[in-house]
Amino acid sequence: MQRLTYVVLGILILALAFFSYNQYSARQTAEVGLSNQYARAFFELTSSVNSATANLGKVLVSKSDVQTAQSLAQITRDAFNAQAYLTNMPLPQSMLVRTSEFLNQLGDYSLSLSRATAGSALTDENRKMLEELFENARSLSNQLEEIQTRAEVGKLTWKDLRDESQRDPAKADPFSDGFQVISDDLSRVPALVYDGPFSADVQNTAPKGLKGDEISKEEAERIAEQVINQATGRKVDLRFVEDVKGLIPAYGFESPERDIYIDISKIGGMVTQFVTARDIDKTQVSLEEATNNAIEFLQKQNWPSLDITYSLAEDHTLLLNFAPIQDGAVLYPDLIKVVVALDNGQILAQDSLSYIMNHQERTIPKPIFSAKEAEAELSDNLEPISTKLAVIPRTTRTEALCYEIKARLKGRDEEFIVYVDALTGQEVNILYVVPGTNGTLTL
Amino acid sequence: MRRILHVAFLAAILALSAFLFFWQPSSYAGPNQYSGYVDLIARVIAAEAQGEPFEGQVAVGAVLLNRVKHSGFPNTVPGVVYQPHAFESVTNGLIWQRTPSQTAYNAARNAINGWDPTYGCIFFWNPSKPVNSWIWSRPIVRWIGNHVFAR
Repeated sequence: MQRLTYVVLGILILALAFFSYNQYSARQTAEVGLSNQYARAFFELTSSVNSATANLGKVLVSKSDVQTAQSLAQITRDAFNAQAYLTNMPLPQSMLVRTSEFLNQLGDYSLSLSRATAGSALTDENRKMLEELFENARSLSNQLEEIQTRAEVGKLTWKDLRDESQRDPAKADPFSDGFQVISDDLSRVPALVYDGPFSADVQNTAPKGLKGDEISKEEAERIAEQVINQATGRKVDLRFVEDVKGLIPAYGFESPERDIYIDISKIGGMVTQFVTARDIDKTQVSLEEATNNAIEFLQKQNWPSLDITYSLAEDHTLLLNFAPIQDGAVLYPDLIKVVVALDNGQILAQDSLSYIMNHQERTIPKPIFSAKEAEAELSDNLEPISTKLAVIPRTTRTEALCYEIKARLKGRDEEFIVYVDALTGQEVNILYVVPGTNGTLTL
Repeated sequence: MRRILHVAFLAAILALSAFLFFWQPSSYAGPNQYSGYVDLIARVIAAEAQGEPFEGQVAVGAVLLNRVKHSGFPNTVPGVVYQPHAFESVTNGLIWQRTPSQTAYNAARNAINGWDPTYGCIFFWNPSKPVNSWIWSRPIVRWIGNHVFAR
């Protein structure tokens, strides 16, 4: 009997040992695999920054436009690569945000330069900026080399790279400390301002479309209740939730059931946005009726006259985009969006952020090219379907008056939208129409 | 089996990045480059903001997309979702354990279509949980349910 117990116990111990060893080696493999991923990201980051630095140097000394264009393109690629690898580092965001900003702006700025200077020389101002970027990129590259020497990144284990919170703050850690130093140093560098999506001023652009006097909370509540009444067809007693302190200061209200939320701007009392929480499981209203409800709903607010530019029916709701028309051109930057429920035709949501951020008095120039002439600029592979005038965002700061030409690839079903500048006749953008997978395009 | 999964995963990532690289919005007025990520965004919303008011769920989706557009964060939706230490539910795997509700999908669609109750915020956190003290230095825009939203 006792012997049997020993045998069973022995087998158990052996099984346990075998199991533990298996677990151990599996974990070992996983840990090494993970630290290898991080090490690779670090080395790629370093080499991308080195390459961007070298190319910044080349741009500064080159006399050839072709060489300059090549180097600018390479800087863009290297900087965006470096940014992607940097944000893959297992470090808290507070250490990475500034460095990531620097790399994104470097890539974006050199992209904007290669567009702006296609075939022409750099300006003195460009050069000054590039010199500064060169200095900063060089010191970033030195600091990364130093992290490599001090932390021996390839040898760092998963435990070393684990969450910051589990680390002893008093103990020096060459890896994360190094990234902190980089971030601190770059924070002293003035942020880059230029015409591109990652420019430092983009996040803080003031709304252009806020007009009118500052209204009181009571006045805002009255407007909000009226709008919700028009949207739902019933009286809802909203209550004030909070002062919203964003780029568009607003009063926030909610319904007692907490299913409707609406913000009214403090300046001008405009509906900035509202949402309704409701799951809709059937379609009982025609798209035409839903569209009419949305048009009627917006007419009761003080917007200029609006046209529907796009609509999408999906999940028993209808999304409609509206834009103002000026001198025959659709103002795409100034969108207002409305969602209609297709079970009862009520308005579920509205978003006027684009309008409030972008709407302004514009002088629309007279087109120099006619619609026919613009269509003639199309590639021979395309046949135009329809053409209209539109104002589109050209860069982050500029807009362009364009012909929006919907066209079909000859002999194929594929559709494209081509934008031809109405003043220069130049093709400024091409969009590929992704064939509708979800929902129906109804316009 | 595992190997096949790994290969499939890599292939999916490659396909996704190719997709992202070549895909452009179909019109200045129409759907946008994020609509292919409705599932991923709904999953993050479900994992990070279940039980929060609907507006708070839209807000979490909006923060995710604001990060994609912000220079301080990865420039793609998967990049932002999978950034190390960015979302607790991604770090602990919760996003793949919880199936998003219809409400989470509705919230994701609203965020993709441009609704942003946070007016451009790039951070949100639950003040009742321990957070990095650095985060409190960011300018707070609003509170929705249990979350603070900041720029």
